[in-house]
Amino acid sequence: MIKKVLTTCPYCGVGCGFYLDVRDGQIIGVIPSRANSVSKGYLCVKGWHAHEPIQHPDRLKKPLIKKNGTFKEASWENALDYVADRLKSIKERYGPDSLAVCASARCTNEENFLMMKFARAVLGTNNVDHCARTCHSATVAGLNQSFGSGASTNSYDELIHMDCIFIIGSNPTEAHPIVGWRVRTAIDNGAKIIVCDPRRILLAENASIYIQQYPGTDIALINAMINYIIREDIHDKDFIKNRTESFDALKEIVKDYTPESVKDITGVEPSLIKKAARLYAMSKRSCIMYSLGMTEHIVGTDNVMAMANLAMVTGHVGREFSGIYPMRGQNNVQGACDMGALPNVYSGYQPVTDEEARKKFERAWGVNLPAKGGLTLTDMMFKAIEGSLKCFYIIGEDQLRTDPDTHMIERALASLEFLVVQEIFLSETAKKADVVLPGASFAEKEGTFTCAERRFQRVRRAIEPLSGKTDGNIISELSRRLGYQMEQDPKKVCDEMAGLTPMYAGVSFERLEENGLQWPVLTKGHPGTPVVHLGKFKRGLGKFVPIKHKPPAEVPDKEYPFILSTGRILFHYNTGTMTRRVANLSREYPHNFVQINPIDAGNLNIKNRQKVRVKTRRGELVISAEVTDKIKKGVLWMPFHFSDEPTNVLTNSAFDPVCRIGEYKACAAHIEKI
Amino acid sequence: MGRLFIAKEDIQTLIERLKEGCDEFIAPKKEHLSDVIFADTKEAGGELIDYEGNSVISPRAFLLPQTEALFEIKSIKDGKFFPIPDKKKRIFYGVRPCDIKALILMRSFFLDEFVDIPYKQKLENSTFIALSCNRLCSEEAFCCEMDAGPVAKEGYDLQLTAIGKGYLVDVGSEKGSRIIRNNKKLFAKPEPRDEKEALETLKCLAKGCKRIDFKKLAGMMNEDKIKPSVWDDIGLRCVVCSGCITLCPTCSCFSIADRVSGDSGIRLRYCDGCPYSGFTRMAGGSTPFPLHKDHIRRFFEHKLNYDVGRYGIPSCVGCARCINTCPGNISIRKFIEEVAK
Repeated sequence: MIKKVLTTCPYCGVGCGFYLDVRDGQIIGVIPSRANSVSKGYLCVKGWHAHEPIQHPDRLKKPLIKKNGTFKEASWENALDYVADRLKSIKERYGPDSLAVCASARCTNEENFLMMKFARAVLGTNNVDHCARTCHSATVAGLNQSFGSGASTNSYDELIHMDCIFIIGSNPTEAHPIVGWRVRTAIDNGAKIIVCDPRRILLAENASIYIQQYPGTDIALINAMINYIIREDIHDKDFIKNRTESFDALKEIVKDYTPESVKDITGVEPSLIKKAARLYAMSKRSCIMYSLGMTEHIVGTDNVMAMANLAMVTGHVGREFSGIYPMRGQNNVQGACDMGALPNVYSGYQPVTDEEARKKFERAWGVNLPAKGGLTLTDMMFKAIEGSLKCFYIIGEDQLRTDPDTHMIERALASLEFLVVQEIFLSETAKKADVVLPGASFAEKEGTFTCAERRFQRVRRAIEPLSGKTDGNIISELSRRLGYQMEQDPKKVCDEMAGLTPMYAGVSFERLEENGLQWPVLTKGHPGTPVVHLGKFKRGLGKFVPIKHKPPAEVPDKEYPFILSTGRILFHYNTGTMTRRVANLSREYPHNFVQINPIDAGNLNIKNRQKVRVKTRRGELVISAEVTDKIKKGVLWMPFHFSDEPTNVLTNSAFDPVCRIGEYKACAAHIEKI
Repeated sequence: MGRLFIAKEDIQTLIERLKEGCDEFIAPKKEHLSDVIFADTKEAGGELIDYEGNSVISPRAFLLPQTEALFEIKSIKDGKFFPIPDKKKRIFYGVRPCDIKALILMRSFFLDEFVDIPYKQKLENSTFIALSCNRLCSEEAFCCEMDAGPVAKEGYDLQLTAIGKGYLVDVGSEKGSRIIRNNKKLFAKPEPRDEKEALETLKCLAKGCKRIDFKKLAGMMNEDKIKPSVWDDIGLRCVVCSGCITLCPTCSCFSIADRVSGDSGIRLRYCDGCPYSGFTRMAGGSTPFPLHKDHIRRFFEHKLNYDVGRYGIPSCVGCARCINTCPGNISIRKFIEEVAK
């Protein structure tokens, strides 16, 4: 039997569409969909191999319960009964806020809605969060303050028509390759590109201006651009007057940031900053694209607002062919946020502290809901160590490999009374669990993902769940055991969500059939929203929030003289549980490495591919060196995909005070040859 | 056997009869919106009898699938391996001439010297009914320039050419004659004006097309006369998606991997090739082509140079699948046009 199942890629946040090629129950390949409006027949190397991990023999198929330190296979009945009993007794003994749920940006919207409902309506706590905390929580917090909505302002297809694309802290051709294709096409169409990155990434080779700033100095850089734009009188006065507020406060703060005065902080020639400022400001169609290079700092939220200031000062937002594109990292990290898998909001960013919203959910779900905001993922770890958090239910996330300062996370997980992990492979975090419940991959479920351009797209089932249950099934069956009945049919869950969420009120499976819908979708007849803030910002007037440069929590010193930054490479995805099980991807990059500039390498007598020790105040790692002039002198860079050589033993557990994102992109490090 | 004619109303009858005699009837099918992809329509139906464009995947996806289980490993310890044969009888319908030409090249690779049994098995159990083109399948297609369209000269079992009231039928093999013999009543002799009509359409399509001088091109590549900037540009465009080698109807490279759990599992082969730096990496870690631009150059050299030496013709058939799926906007057509001009 040959079957082709049209679905959405499970990797990055771009949201490409392809068919899974299923023959006699085996998924043997991927066929790109030319008709898909996001990917138009293009895929990256991960997408082309998305079928390989699905039926890999390492997939978890049966629940595992740990007894005396070793896992024993258990039946679903026993495992679910056991988990329900433990959750119940911990809740009774310590209260609902001793429990926390980590939802999953890898799962569908419908499943995330069920997870947040499970935490709030069944466990009775707002302690629900997910990995957006470690990627774009700064975007949600920052853009929300500046514009009133924390997501991409414009759509992918506008990119190819831009005159200027300002790319900062983002590597589209590796991390979001099909958006990278659009940047490539924009270049071929004559667009000018500005790349700001401590590493000379592929697009820098074709950029009109390439700025190699030090990690963690972006505010100084952007403020200097704004300073120059105002000084040269090339700011958009009409836009500032009609559409924004607090311009004077911004003007006041950027006074101290001239391209000359930030030279030492950023390591960038003032003339380059001026050129970039002029090009961005003067181009008719300019946009900003960024990702985790901007957000994963203790000043993540500030970084995002600094970019919003730059866009508003030049009038490059709030209309077509302009705007800010936060490139989302995971297939459904946009959706997991949208569905309210966050400690402070229900679906559609309705605050849990808003009594009217809470009453609405209480009526719909027939329970009393907690009124106090819950813990962020970051603070869940701290509370576990402190002792007030007793139980953690983690779905599809590997904190031991993704969170900064691995050793601290180890302590946090070890402090728990009960840890449940729902996973498709036995991840490092799953190994620490008391119970592991086998979840389902994207190919085994019906539902929707929401991509970085706010587009809901369908996910369709190609094969039956290998473990017999989808993640949604598991949640709902646990819920029933805890005395609460939940609808679990994805189509009906989508309808329930739409009924409770004004921003997605018009979303339904039927309407997504063709090419999805971009939110806000306010009614059943609403066509969706390719460009947000047209004519008026969501919050009314766009707000200039004055931002000051603040150095990273850890700066180089004698003992740790380098700045270590981390990121994603083309061939692997996050902790590598999937991509390292794909033959060609794994072969391309089988091991971890550290990039170092030839001058630094020369000084330390380090040769290419030689083993080195990288050390920070948190830990150390022995890996091989990649000596390359693509990285700035004084900076080291490592990917984070290698579970057996885990980069995050080195990264710093310093956090943004607003959104609680960790500072993965800059810490002080030492490197030596072995 | 001379040229025959089948009327529009009879082609469906023929298809239904053919379906009875095969395990899978692989034909172009409309999937989501405008997507056209080869599917098994034996039971499901819905094949496009006449269609515009070409399938996203070529017949290669059935003869050399993206991943293919070769044998079952019952026990590593005891050395118990069992081949997983694919003996399905397949009829491919509506195959475009470019893909027919690709099949000839693939046959040479997999059957002429070292015989690849899994490929041979599937090929021998397959029947190919070509459908010549009456318009270009995409803006980028350049089959006429590559002498691979709009009609196939050989390599098919039957070839259909659409005219107003039906199809002209060319017979290219014994398998094809057998189909005609078994369905005699459906076929008639064409009238001279039918042939004229077909000729007009094909002429119209081929108008303005200039065959490339592939020997000259191969010679230039062989002597390394391509401007280095051409390769530099390609190197900066390729993002190693592997789409070109996955969709190309003449890419034959594969690698082997075992999917083992405990003592048992399967051995599979999967699509592999030029863009990967790991493809030619040596055991010690070094690679003869360390620069990325040379990986894509390898692809171009293979199609347009080495195979001209080996088979006398280039192994690019101008289907444009690699162009239409390249996130770096690399175009082998543009390369040929720029270099050969």
